[in-house]
Amino acid sequence: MRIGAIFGLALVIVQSYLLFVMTAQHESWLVRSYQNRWSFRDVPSIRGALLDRFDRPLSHDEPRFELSCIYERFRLWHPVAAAIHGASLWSSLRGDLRNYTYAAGPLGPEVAARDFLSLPVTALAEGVLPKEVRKALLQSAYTVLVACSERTKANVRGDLRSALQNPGMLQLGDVPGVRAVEDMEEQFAGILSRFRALDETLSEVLPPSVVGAPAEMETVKKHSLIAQLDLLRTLSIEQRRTKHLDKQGIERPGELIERTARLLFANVPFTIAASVRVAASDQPGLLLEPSVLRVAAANLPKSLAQILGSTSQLDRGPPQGDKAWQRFEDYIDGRVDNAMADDLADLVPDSLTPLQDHSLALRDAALRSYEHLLRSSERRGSSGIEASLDAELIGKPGMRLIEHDAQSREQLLFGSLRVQKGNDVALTIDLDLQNLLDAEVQASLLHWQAEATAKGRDAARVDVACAVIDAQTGDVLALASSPTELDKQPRIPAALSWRGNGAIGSLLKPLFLVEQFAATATDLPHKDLGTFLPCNRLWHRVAGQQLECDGVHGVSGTRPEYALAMSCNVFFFQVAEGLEEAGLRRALWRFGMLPPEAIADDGRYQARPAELPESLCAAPRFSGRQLVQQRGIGYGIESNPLSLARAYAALATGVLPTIGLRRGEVRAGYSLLIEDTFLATVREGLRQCVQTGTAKQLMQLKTLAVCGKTGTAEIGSKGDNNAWFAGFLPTRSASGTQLCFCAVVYSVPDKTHGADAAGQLIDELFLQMAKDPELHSRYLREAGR
Amino acid sequence: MKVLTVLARVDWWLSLVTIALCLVGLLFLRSTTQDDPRFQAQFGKQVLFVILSLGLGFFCILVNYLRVLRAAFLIWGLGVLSLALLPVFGSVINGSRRWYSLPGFSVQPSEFAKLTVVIGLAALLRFDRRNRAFGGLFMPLLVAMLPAGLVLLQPDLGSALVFGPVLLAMSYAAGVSGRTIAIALGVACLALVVAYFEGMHGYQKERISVWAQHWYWDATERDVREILRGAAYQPWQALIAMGSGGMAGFGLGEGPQNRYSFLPYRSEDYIFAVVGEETGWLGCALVLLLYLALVFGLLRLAMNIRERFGRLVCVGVAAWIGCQSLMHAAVCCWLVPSTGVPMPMVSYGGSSVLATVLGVALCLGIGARREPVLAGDGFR
Repeated sequence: MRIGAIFGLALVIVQSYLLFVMTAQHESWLVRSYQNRWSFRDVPSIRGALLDRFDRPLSHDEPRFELSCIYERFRLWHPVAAAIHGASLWSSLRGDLRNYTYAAGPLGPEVAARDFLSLPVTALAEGVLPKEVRKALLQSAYTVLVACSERTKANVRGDLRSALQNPGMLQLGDVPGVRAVEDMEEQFAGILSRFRALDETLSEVLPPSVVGAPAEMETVKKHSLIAQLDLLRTLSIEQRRTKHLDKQGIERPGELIERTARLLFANVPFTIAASVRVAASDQPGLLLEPSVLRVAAANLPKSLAQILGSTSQLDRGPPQGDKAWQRFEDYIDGRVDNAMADDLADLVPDSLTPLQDHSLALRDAALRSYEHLLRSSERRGSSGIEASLDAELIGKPGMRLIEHDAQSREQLLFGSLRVQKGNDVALTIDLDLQNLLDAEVQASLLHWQAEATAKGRDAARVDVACAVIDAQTGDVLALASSPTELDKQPRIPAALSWRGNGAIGSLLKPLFLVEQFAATATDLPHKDLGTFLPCNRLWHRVAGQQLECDGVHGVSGTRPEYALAMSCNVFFFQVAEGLEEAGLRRALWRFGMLPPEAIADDGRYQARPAELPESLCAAPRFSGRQLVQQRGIGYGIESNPLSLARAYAALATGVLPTIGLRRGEVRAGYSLLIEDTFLATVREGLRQCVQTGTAKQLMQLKTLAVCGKTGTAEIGSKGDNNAWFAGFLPTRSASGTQLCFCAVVYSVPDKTHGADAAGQLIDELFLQMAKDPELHSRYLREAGR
Repeated sequence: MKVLTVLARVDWWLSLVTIALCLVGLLFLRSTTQDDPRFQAQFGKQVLFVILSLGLGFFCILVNYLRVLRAAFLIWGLGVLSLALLPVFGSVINGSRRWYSLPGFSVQPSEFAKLTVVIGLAALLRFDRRNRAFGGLFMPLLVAMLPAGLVLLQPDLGSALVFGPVLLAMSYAAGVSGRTIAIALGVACLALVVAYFEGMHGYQKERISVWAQHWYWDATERDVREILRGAAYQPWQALIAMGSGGMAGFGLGEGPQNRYSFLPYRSEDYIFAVVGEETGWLGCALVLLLYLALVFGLLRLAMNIRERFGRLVCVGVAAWIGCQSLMHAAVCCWLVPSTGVPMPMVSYGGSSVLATVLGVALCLGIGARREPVLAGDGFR
């Protein structure tokens, strides 16, 4: 009876403990059960595409995959890895210390397999080796034999068992019995060739992300699966661990690296990913996760790519500095709040768990998980238009609350936060025109670099840029700059900024002429045109400087049209003297290039299009301490081609457009506030400039009756010039556009004029446009023809 | 005694409890194997083994146990031999050499060894006078510890530990004094401590060490999480299964730890955790009550048997089943360090169910042939 009492007592103890665990502690164990099987799964968001004005994608997201490796699984179950690790371990036991590798060579996988298959079975018998070592060798042997003998796992297990009972002189390769060692080596060669084919295929994939990788992974020279696996092999053998900071900020060793999933390849295309997934059993330990890649249009020119900018994942461009961190944190908080505010209940339904506290904890976990998702994989525009239109382009990543099994296979879906694709944004850019312009800009750059080299000058100083806009709407149709980088450092696009002293030269003369007319009409300070003296090349000597013109224009030089066509400096010295600096500034304000002084801003000043970030653009400005006469011919005033194209668009239409890069946007236009007759005079001067004046050699422009103006500004004492040309087509095309443009070639050799360099570029552009039926129809065919 | 007379005197309540435990085993085995193709064959095999065991058990009842007594040492010897030959003919599964592989199934001799030890010990201890002295324990110790040692070498610590309580219970029933038993227990504990430092495998020490630590763990700490993924994975998952089952459980086949394969070896070493997860504390209590009924039934039977061999066999089988079922339950709720012990008649395993049912059947046969106990005849 006492035995029964002891049993009864023990049973009561067990039952009482069970009661305690299953009732008093039930909730905490239930939560652990939830934690075991419930998890949030990330769903990457799709960012909106950037389209050109005809809805052709310039930059868009494509689904991709990330290939990771849990190396422990790989080395245990992949026959190539098992052979390498088995052979290495066996050689180290013999004191040989051979370091077999995945890479082909004297210690490559073939040699490893051969050496491993020649391992004497007696070594695997119980008691010969330490238990852990024996276990590791047996696992490698098992994996290699199953793969090479093509026998079932159970058969191989039986073979191994039998061989271990009577090892004799058997070698590992003899174990399956039914296959010769040579056959097994041949089978291994087949496996190896498939493994190498995968390596070959993956070498085409974009470089991997290095996030979270140990420092060594970043220094892998050859980007290949084999090289990365060799590195992981070393880390595995050395039992290296991840590191993390504890609550006290002290670095602690974490998980064994071989047990964590290490990213090998980001951006694996679907075709490759599919082949890996289909043959997943051939590549144990390799994991595929969905991701997204921002893909640029195949024919996207470099300079446009620079303006469009790029995206980066939040964790791959950590902000620098406290303020930047704060902005970053604020951004994350905002995104989390915005994304989760209404949807948290959908993601974590109230009915999910009877534990109210856990339901709340789950929602907290959802917020943290979403925040982690944003931090680890959300992509933001980091430069260019991608950055400035980020708020519209950015999508909302999704998340799902799922129940999964021990192998992390999804079993149930409880709730989800839907992925929201970002909005597509159609730009005003015409990809065809952009490509053509880029080709011309590139050709011009090469030409003038060659010229500079031939004349013993620094070819790196040459920059070419051009902006083409629609004068009617202010739509930016094409923006090209070259080079886009110097010494491998990106350069601010010359179409949006300036180089050197940035002098514009005579391109400003029509603007000042307009101001002369406006001042005359409104009785602001000016000189009457009737009092202007003829041009005999030399003008006064002011502050020790002799002011002069390029030619002797005589009495004709007092006529505005002629002065404009021939770019008579003497005429414009007198204009500037009459207008004074305030008048010149007013002229630039009238054309939206400078903010107003002493008058209310009506909004016409535009430093840059709203879609372009400040970092890409430099707004026009007065600079230096130039004489007013010199400012009158374009010195001491810096501007970029896009701003000048806008000013010339105002000359073309009488209305200063607001320039922008978003298609279909209605933007404000600002009257130049002068009579049409005055504008007609200016346009006539610009027309004559091309027909008979300083740009008369530009035959294609002459044919098209383009109104244009050359500008040649000397750069300091180095004897180089900035060559400019700006203008517009006289009428709208059948499609309603009226092309307006401005081009510049910086640092052309002395005696090279605006028409020779920038003018030639535009002339060639229009020639090529005329040859292209599409572009001709869009921009050159006049209405009704 | 005629067959019908024997059958008429069989304790059918005990038989029903045994059958009930076998059916409970099948019920939960069905639950553990239904969603996993790797285990689906287990259920069919177990059904066959239960039918076979009950059939053989029935015939075992009919066999006069005196035949067993006569062959007791031969049976014990066969048990020891089957264990001794394992290193030569046994198969290695999961690092242990515990099975003989036969076409279609495997035989685990350590399960039968428990029954043979009970028979051997009963045969040895049936002579009352020998057991009074401390020295009289030497032979029984040898009879129990030789097979226990062989089982330990497989290695199978859990099964080896069952032999100790069986020996102590049978010795006590045979008349060994409580003081001697206490001393023997003390020595056993000391031996265990020495074994921990000197004889145990690394993984066995690790199991004891994580068990000792788990009472004050903070499962959110990184180091602890790593242990929970490693050495403590199995008992921790079992504890989650038990704890999350609550009072009434998730329902048959609905336990997430079971259904989603978080619980390893759930059809064998952790089936009671499945019972807890799917039927809650009430289910656990019911199953343990069945064991209680079986153990007390066997002990009551023993009390009513005058013949010492039969009585000791009943005590031995009761101690074996009681000890093993409690150990299994305690392992599943991590009350003791984790070790692989099947729950008699409930866990998957043909050898286990066959040996246990035969053991119970032997007791039932002994009970059916007992002489009536008359008041005042000096039976202790």
